[in-house]
Amino acid sequence: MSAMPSTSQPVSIRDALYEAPGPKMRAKIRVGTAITAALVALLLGFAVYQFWATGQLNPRYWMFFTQMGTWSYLLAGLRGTLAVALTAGGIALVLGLALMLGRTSGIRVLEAICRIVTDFFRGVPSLLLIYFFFLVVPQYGIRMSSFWMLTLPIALAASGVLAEVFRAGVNAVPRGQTEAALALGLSPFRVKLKIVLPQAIRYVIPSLISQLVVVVKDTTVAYVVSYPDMLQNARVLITNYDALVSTYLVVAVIYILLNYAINQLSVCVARRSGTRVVSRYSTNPA
Amino acid sequence: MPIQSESPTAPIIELRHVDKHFGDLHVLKDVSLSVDKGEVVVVIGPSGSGKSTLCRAINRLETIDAGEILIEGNPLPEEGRELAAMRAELGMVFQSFNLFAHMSILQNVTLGPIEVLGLSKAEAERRAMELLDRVGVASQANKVPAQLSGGQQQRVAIARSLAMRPKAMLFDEPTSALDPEMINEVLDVMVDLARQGMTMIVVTHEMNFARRVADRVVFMADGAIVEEGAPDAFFDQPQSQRARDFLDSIKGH
Amino acid sequence: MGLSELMATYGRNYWEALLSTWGMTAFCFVLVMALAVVVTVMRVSPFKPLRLLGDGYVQVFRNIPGVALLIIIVYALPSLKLVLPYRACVILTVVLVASAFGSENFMTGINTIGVGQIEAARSLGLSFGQMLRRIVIPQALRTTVLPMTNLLIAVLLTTSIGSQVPLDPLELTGVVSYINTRATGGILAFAVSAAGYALTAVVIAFVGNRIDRKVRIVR
Repeated sequence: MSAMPSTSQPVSIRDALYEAPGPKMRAKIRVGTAITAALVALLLGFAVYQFWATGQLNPRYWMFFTQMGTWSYLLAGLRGTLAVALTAGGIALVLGLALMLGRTSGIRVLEAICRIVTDFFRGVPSLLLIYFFFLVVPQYGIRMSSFWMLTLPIALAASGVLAEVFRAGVNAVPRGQTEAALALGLSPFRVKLKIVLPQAIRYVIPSLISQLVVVVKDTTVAYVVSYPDMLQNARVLITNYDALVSTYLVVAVIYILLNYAINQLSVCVARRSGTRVVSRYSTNPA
Repeated sequence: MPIQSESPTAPIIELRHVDKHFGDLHVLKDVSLSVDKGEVVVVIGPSGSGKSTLCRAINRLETIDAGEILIEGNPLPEEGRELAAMRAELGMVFQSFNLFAHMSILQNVTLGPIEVLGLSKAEAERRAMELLDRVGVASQANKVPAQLSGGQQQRVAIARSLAMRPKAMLFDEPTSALDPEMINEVLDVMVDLARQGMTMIVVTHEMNFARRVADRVVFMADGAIVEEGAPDAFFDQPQSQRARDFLDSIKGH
Repeated sequence: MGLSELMATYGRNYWEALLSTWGMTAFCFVLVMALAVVVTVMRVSPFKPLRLLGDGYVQVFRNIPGVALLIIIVYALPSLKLVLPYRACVILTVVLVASAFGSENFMTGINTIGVGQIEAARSLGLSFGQMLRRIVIPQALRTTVLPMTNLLIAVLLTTSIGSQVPLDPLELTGVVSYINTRATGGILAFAVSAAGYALTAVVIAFVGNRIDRKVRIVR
């Protein structure tokens, strides 16, 4: 029975680059697979060896992860992370939508302003915005909690990206839809609100979900404003247990899994609704 | 009438007892077929009958599980330079044209001759312009594929194959992706090609083309060749029930 | 503090910080492209272990927060007997994260080519190498201009994590914190750095769009 991709199934380009191997190629692939497997094993082995040689595999660095207290503390931090991420995400949704509406409003001045604001928030690192709220805003006598000092800048940075995501969604709505609605006598404003926007939002839902990853990543500078997010709580654990490497690794894995899950959710929704994840508008991977 | 080649024993393309599965699906069942030089063989049959797979197997875009495929009496190479050299001698035209999107029409046609045959750029371009003129798209030579209609793209694809001076041409449903008004411009090119003595295997749903041009019609169903014969005989007096059903179902439209 | 006073006192710091940010961005981006190519080659290689390693690399580094990675590199690696200078830590973090995204861009670029063109190339008798050189790589490069432009901007913004470790000279984000711990720079101290980033990003986007318009493949 043939194991080769068939024309009746969609073939990934990755596999299509190579054709069904002949006997010589099969032998080469077998040898190559063995060699590369050995190399990868060697690499992983070296990493483990380095941990062992430096004493990092010592149970005292790891045993406290068997205690409930450790996890409940980390989970409290994760709750803090999610609280900031979801609040910032919600604010960014509203702001991003408003910026997009302004930018496509047909009112010249408003368009220019929204365009500049969008480009500004997309073109400035979220860390710099956090320093703005942390160092600059208090100079004007405005008192903010650490939660908002973290949440607002993250929301602003995300709103610029989301405005562009929404705009891509609006552009993806076929022009015929607008024309048909206008022909029915609806006002341009109502056409946008009732016809274009609902479709545009449906198109971009997967992209919106995947943008949550960026927001989650942005929250990791919470320690700058002393907000207790997961990374900040991990620091406390480290001082308690003197277990720096193991704690940071565990926390890193949790972040990776969380973001991976968000990405998978986005892909899942995209597949179910038959839309595509618009990710190229993101300029903020880290 | 098939014209005999210099080596009178070996047909240009020969399949012997070819079998292929896609998972549980038996797509080619003990298929044997022989095509002589200058012969035009049209393969028809309901969709899913394995005719496309048959066509693609001949230049090993699909592998086979059992049986033999011979090109001029030599077994189809399995890989490497030998396979590439064999493919260079067989032209292939796809349902979806598959022109190289980043190249001009002219570059599409000169790529093979320059890279594979080692022709100079000037010589390859001279040959390409001649062929583009022959298929009626010479004036589009400097455009990119997306600027051309489907019919024009498919004619370029034929020119691209012809530029390799192939010994035979394989057509895998060349008009199935075309709007109705463009089908004839492509078929006309193929009719000309057949008249000039090109050896052709054509998988198609165009029955009029089959009747006009084919030396032989091969009818496939469920992965097997059910019936083959001269076009008039096949269309007027099909021998098998499957073929009668198939022809009736088409007439209904 | 007015703009002229700010620039008179700290103009030099800003200028050095801007050059530091630009320098790191350019240097990182070269490494990002190189590493992204390597990772992508691994991911499309016919060898399963390499594919898994490449896929794993991308999943880890596109999902890890840059700051968390920087902290691990700065504070955890020394415990494993791997000590790097601070600037190298920042550059390594940016390169690891951004190259994962770069590889994703390349994979998307390869994916847009479609199986049909590959089969057409094969049917003409092109070898694997010829197919890569004439069909796959040119198209992948041309379709990734815009995503890579955005990645370059992302690299620019990501170098701001350099503010989390002592660097000399400082980069554009760190300089804001530096000035504000010495004086009340107010909104201006922030605005100068922000303008440095935003204007650089606008220029990069402009150039990227121009290049894209020139090489874009019409489909």
